[in-house]
Amino acid sequence: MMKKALERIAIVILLCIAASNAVVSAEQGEYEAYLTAFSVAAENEHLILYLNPDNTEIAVEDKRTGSIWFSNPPNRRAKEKIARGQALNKLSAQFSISYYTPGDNLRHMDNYNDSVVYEQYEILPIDNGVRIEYVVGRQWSDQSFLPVMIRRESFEELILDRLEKRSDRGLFEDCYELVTLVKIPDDYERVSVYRIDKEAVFGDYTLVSPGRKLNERDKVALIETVADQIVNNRPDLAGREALTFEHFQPFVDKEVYVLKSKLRAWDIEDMIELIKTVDYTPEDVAEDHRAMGIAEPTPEYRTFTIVIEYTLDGENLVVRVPLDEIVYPENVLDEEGNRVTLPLYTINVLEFFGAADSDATGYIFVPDGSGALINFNNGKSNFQPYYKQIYGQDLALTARKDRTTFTQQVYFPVFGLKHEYGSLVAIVEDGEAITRIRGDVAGRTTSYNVAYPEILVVPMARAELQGTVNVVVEGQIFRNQINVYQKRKNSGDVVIRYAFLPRESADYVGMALYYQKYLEERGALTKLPSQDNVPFFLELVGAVNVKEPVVGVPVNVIKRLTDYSQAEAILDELRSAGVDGIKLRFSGWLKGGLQHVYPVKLKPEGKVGSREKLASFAAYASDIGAELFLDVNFLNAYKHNLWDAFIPFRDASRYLNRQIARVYPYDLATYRPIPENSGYVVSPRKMPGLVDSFLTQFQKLDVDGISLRLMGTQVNSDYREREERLVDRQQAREILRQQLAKAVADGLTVLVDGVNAFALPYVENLVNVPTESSRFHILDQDVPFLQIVLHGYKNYAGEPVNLAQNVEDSLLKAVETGACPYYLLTYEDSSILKDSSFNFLYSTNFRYWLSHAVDGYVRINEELKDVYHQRIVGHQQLAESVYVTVYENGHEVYVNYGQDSVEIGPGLTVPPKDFLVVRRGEADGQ
Amino acid sequence: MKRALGFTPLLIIAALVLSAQVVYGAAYRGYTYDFWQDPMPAPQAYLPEKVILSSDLANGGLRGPQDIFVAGEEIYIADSGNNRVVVADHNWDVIRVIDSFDNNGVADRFSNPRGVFVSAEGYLYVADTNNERIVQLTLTGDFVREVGAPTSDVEGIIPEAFQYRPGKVVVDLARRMYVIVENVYDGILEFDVSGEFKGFIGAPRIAPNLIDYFWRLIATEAQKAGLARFLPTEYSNIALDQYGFIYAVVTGGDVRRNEYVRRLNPTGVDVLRRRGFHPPMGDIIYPQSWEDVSITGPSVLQDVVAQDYGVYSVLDRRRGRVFTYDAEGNLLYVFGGRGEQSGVTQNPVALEMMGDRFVVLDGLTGSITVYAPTEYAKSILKAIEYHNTGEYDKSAEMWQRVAHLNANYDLAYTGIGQSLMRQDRFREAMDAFRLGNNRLDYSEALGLYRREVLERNFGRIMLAIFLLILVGKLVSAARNRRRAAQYEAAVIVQALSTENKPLWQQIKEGVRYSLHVVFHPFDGFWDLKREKRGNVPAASILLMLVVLTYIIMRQYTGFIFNRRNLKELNILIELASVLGPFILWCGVNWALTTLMEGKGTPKDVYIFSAYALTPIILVNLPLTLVSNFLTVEEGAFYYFFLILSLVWSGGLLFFGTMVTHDYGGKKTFYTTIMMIIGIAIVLFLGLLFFTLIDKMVGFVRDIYTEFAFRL
Repeated sequence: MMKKALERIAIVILLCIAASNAVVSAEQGEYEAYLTAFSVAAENEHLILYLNPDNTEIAVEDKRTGSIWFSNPPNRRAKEKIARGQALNKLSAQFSISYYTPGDNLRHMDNYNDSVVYEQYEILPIDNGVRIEYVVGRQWSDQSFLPVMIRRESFEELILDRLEKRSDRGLFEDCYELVTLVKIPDDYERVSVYRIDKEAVFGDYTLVSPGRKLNERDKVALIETVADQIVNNRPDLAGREALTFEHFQPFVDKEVYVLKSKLRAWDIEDMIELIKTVDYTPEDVAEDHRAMGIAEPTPEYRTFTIVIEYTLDGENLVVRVPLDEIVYPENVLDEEGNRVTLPLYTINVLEFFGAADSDATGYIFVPDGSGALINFNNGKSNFQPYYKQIYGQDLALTARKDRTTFTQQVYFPVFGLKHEYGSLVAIVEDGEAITRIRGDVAGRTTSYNVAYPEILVVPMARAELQGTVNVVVEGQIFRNQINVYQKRKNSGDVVIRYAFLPRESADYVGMALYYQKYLEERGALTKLPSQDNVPFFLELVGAVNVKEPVVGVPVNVIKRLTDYSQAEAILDELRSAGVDGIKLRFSGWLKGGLQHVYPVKLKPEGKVGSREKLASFAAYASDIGAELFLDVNFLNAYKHNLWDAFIPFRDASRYLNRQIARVYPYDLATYRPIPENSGYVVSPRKMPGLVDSFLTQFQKLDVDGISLRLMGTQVNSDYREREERLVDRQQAREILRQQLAKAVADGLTVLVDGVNAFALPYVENLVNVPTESSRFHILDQDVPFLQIVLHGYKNYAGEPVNLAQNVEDSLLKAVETGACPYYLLTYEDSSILKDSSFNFLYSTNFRYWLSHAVDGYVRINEELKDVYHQRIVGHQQLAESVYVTVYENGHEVYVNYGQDSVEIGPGLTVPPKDFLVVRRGEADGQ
Repeated sequence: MKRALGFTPLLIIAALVLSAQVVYGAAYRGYTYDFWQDPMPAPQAYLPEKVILSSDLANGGLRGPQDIFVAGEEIYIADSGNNRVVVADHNWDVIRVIDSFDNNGVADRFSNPRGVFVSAEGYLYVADTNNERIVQLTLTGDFVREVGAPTSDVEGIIPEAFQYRPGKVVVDLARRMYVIVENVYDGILEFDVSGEFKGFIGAPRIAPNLIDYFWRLIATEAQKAGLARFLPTEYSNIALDQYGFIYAVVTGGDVRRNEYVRRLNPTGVDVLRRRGFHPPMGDIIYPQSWEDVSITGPSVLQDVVAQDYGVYSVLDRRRGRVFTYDAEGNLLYVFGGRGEQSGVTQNPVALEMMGDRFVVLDGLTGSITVYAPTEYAKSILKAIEYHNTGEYDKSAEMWQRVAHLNANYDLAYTGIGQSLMRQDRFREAMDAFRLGNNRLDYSEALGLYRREVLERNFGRIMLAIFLLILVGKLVSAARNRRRAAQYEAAVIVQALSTENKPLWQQIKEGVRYSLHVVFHPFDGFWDLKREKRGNVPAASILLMLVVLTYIIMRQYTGFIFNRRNLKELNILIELASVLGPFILWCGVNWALTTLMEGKGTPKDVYIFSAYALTPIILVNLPLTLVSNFLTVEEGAFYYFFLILSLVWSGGLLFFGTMVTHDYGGKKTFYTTIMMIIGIAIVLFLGLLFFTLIDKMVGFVRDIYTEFAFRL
């Protein structure tokens, strides 16, 4: 019975696959026609890079599968239903930019409408690829293509001779007047011209038109035309009165074509169209004008130079945007002669690469939190599109005025598009800290589902003026905010690596495994050595500093939550209850407690225990096989008193508006920042010295583990005004990476919160790894992408079970995502923190949680021990509340979040709110 | 991978068409307000279990839906924008759609129906807003009757220019129909069984504030017309509880804070209990409209729903939150928020219960969010349930669990405390009540504990008192003997001008003299000035002692009487709050008396004023100690002494002015009145000055910012 059903289903699946294959090949056929306009720009054993030199579109053919990936949807003319005009043309762009006007308005341009159309680009071949330099923004106005005065030889050679049609030549000849300045012939009849003293200006010369007999009116007209064109094209002349002979010198005995001044508009348009076809450029106009002593045409100031390089690297396409080569208008003269700067704000790269049309099925993968999928054409264009900065917000950019929502961070610079025939994975390899990921579904501005990176070139923030109301004077609104920009553009390159996955491994698991391979090849991931047990993450908080009035004076009082001997007691209890493989993060042990003093010097908090006590505790921990990580926070500093080592003026980052950057907790009810409990953002400039000094002293403690708390979560710049002190975000990321490397070089094992990708090579243990996405409405499904990448390579845990969002499901979530249990506990009861700013630790009493932790751990350890070092190779939602995670060795872990038990196979039932491990071999036995 | 999934193909096929999935966390955080109006973090009470987007519902989704009602297995949604009622089951599959019905042979339709209700006997009532009627249907959509606009024979009951736009409707157990009409401020309309209009009940009261009232007094008729009228308020929603009482909420406006939620008995009297720390009004603190945050202003209560044991929840449209209160008016928990993530909404319009789940309807996106209780909320509800069913021990156990899950939860400590009380563990109960900021219960525990201690130690206490008296007698006798011996020398010394004595002695005697002054003000103040018995250092010491007294009072007054947040205690503020008024008093006193032939110098004024404050020290220091042993019932005693010290000092200031400036009683009286006016003027000028300075600083800063960033 069962067998029959299986067979039937297998047939259905096969048919489906065949059908989808047919679709793909039909489309591929169309594409081949489209490809004829392209030429091969590079080729290697895996890929072929095509480029269309007429519009700089690219395409990549994957030789293994034969699939072709286009930078711009080839079927856009047929499939696009929403965009019209410029927006439709934008579908042909490879990138688009946004910049700010001096009035603080954001404007957009793209390389099709504003560069390719004007042919303002240059294609240069480079190794394994091609480099294209664009000038975005029309360089020359139409007017500047028409020479006002031009020597006869150039006119004929460069323009007339190149025109093919007689009628076109005729048009030019009609619109230009041939003029020369010669000695007055004997029979010359003088004419008088308004506001020109002919005697004084021309002396015994006069203007004639060779080959034409002029009557008196013609003569006047001729002189007026030439005079006016000179006056109009020389900014130094106020009017005809100012003309002298010198201005007519270039006409002496030279034949010159002068543009007539009264022409019909369509004639001018026609001439401009024609002149563009003959390759007579505004540069040539400039040369001719120079010869005639009149003003050269001025290029438009609103232009941006952007360079983009496409290269093939093995099985990847690598796109590089060198920021150092970007030029944006800085201190240029605008139409009114004001000096203006147009800061280039962002560049969207390959917006439509792999875009899916409105009939496609598949999804966009975005790395929001643990990872999330946006189904193609999910119809949710009434919700906000997906838009997130990699590595989270820059806390030094600007003070957040309120916090209304809680979202997850983007830790991995990866996104992807899954089509029926394969998928595209993009890894932002460099410049990721200044890159944001955007994703959107069809139906909003275009009929395509897209995902692409957005590069931040010149960071911007708004500075508030004091007055809080907008002032309106004579109908004009004076805003109380002005834009402030980083003093220079971000440095370095932004490199995006695109991989093309075949259909078999195109889903999010395949993407995760590809990224895993990518990281492994680069040494960022190394397989965990096999251990006997699943680790148990435990955080104990030593002490906190609480403000309390003592005889009316509010002072910092240290409240002890767990001292070393109490910590020993907790470890003892856990161990005797069967919890092994404890990884203990001990926080709040430095002077000042959890929000400790600036750690230039390592001073343990006396209330938690002396240095000796710490040493003996460390020895005890290692005796019983618990790994100890002492926690220190380098990224945020808390000032305890006026004379402590942290001087905000000197050591803190600055916002773009020049104020000192702070970190605030936010009021849960009003969303406002709470200034009393705020700390400071430590400037990345200070980081190397600080970390060196701390680590040197840390070495003496003889502890191997260090917990660098926010090092995997925050990346903060320092937007100081002086350029030598400014640290942009990518530089800040590099500084943080070096600090992590130092700790590892010192032989320390590192634990961090979160998991910003750059930290991966240096950290072995991660906690607070998100187990879900921000769950924006635009997202359709959460996936444990992070966990699939990390499993078997790092020890990781989600949020502490006892303080979790969802306490009941949190252990189940750990099972589904292959995470270790993690508890944050204290020896003292949380009620002593009730009236303090640490009241967020509202449920940490170890006595209450002990049995919960022990029961949970023992069960997980027993059942999941043998998959702990395995890679995850499959993950799927089976029913509304049932998920399966499949490991390399074939073991399957089923998790049921629902209220009812679920049968997942013959004789296999997952109880409600429980999990079931099916080991390989067992299933066959059923 | 393939192998792995090989044996569960049926489920995989299902998975391909599934869109719903398990929601784990939420885009909001839980909190409750503590006694001090501070939001305290709390575990999540309810988590979004399911989000049904408008597009997930069959039949083309919802457009601007306004109401939802859960009746057993069926859910009725007023799909206002589509002029229909959509009925779904618990899996959110649409069972039927009611968009037209046969009205006595005529095909009839809804027009913007904004309210749905299913009565106990199983009829569907629809507030058919634009058609100005209530339509009663069977659950399958067959027409029963319609009730149109109210009519009344008595003039004035129905307001002029009355437009009948029924928004919400409920029908109680006696089949009376209550209707809320948009833009009607006279209350809830009541119709009897036959559909006849009976009148308005529960008219919301307007609470004009004092300043408005003042302006209205002095304004001319024309100006009055121009002034904004008191913003009348209308009910936004009603709900019935199991006893047939009506919960009604208003959307802010000029109604008093504690009347945002009302519980009306069948005669229309508000019987809601408001014994929590704060009135049930949604958020207690909120940013004001001028602040630069995304959402400002108080909660706008949009809907209300009743649960068992008097527990009820209200929905705040402004911040998308659901606040749940117990029968006493204590805030139990808060969840929800605004935004575009699961668990938060853009424009929540309706709140319903579906078993123990909450359902929130978003009127903007048409999405429906189902929230499920967590262990934390379940424990709280269980604790309340056990309390109501008289199982106090189980209730205490639950409260203990809640306290473990959330150490910030005041109510849990009260629950624990009450259980301890029943076990006669008064001392521990006191600690628990203290943690829970429950002053009334603390007072009771304190009273019992006090009696217990007294009873247990009666003998010892009596002995101690006896010994104390004995020792006191002996000491005073010894001292008297010594005094007698020193008397003569003392007389000589005192006769001499104190100026010849060493400074410390002068000060010592100066301070000691204050004890004389407070009991003999007339000759005391006279000597202070004429005999130079007082001096500036001594006065300053007295002043500092006053400051110290206030600080000690602030920090050590008994828990019951100490109603200001210790976290905010700051010596500098205390110092300023004593010295500021004092200096103001001295300054104004001197300035006025100089004009009015007063004889006192500034120094004299300073000295006598400081001496006059001595009663504050004398009374309040012991009082602070005693307050730790007093219960609420004995509060009168405490407050009597508190006021006594102030009156005493006030009297001394009065007499001091009289004696020091050589005034008569009448003149002193006038001067005092003048001084009060003077102080008011100085305060006003000071305020003006600071405002100006503030504006100037702001202006200069703006210019600097402009220059710095623009150039």
